[in-house]
Amino acid sequence: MNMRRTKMDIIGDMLISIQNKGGKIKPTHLMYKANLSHKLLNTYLDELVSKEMVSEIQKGPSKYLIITEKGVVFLSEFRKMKEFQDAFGL
Amino acid sequence: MIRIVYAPQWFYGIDTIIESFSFLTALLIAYYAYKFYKFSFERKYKYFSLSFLALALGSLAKIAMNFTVYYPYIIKEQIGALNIDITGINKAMFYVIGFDAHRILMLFGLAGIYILLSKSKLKSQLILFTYFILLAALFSNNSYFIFYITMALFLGYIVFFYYKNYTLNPKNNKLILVALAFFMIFIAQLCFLTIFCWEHLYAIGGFFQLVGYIMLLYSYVSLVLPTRK
Repeated sequence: MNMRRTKMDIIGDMLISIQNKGGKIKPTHLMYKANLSHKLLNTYLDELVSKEMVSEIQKGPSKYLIITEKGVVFLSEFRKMKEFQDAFGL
Repeated sequence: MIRIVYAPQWFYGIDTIIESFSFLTALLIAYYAYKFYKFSFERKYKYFSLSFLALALGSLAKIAMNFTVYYPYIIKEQIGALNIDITGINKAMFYVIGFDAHRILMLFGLAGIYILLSKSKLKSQLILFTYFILLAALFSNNSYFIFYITMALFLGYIVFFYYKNYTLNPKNNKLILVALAFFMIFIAQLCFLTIFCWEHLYAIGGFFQLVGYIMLLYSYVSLVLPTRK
């Protein structure tokens, strides 16, 4: 299916990608995992960081993105929404 | 003369219980969809919530009407030395408002779900749908079957869209449950449509409606419960 992703879908995919990597991921990996361009990654990342769902940490030479507690709560709600969407065919 | 009560006498009250169950189920689904609208601000959740809210309010209107028709009570107004019995006025008023509200809300609710599932543009069809819904609801007082045919038509399409969705995602068992739920409600409309043959079909239709809403409630509960682990 080539359905266009909504903003919520992209944010959900980003958070799922971070969580699947144990809650910590490099920005480049996130870009590939969430299937985003560099420009889009930065746009959505800025939003996620400003909303405190993701935080950035520097570990040696690499920058890592960490999913916060707020991000985990958001993801849980997002998954419930997707289940509802699937169940009712929306 | 317009026939008000179609239900067999033994079914009085039972249909109100079924309608109350339908009201609560539709209200729960409407609330759950509204919660997701507030979370995502995606319009489809808003319209889905409004559609189920319309179904819930439609059921509520029928409950109110049933109470008036089945359990008439005497209201006496005293104006000076005069005692005026206004039961008849109230009953007629409740009948007109209740039945029309029930029909309009039910049809709007189903039309909303139909438009969402058909993935068609809402704005382009809204005027046409509103016209046909009002036509089917307000001018079917003497021909009750027009309302039930319209309901059955909407439900038939809804079942068809769910089935089409299911064939695309055969692993999605919840989808087939919702499809079956709407199919039961569709069968209920066919029963209501044919009560001129045998009045007990009204009760059988009520039973199918109950099964349909139980299945919808089960779908809702299965979505809500795992989150409480």
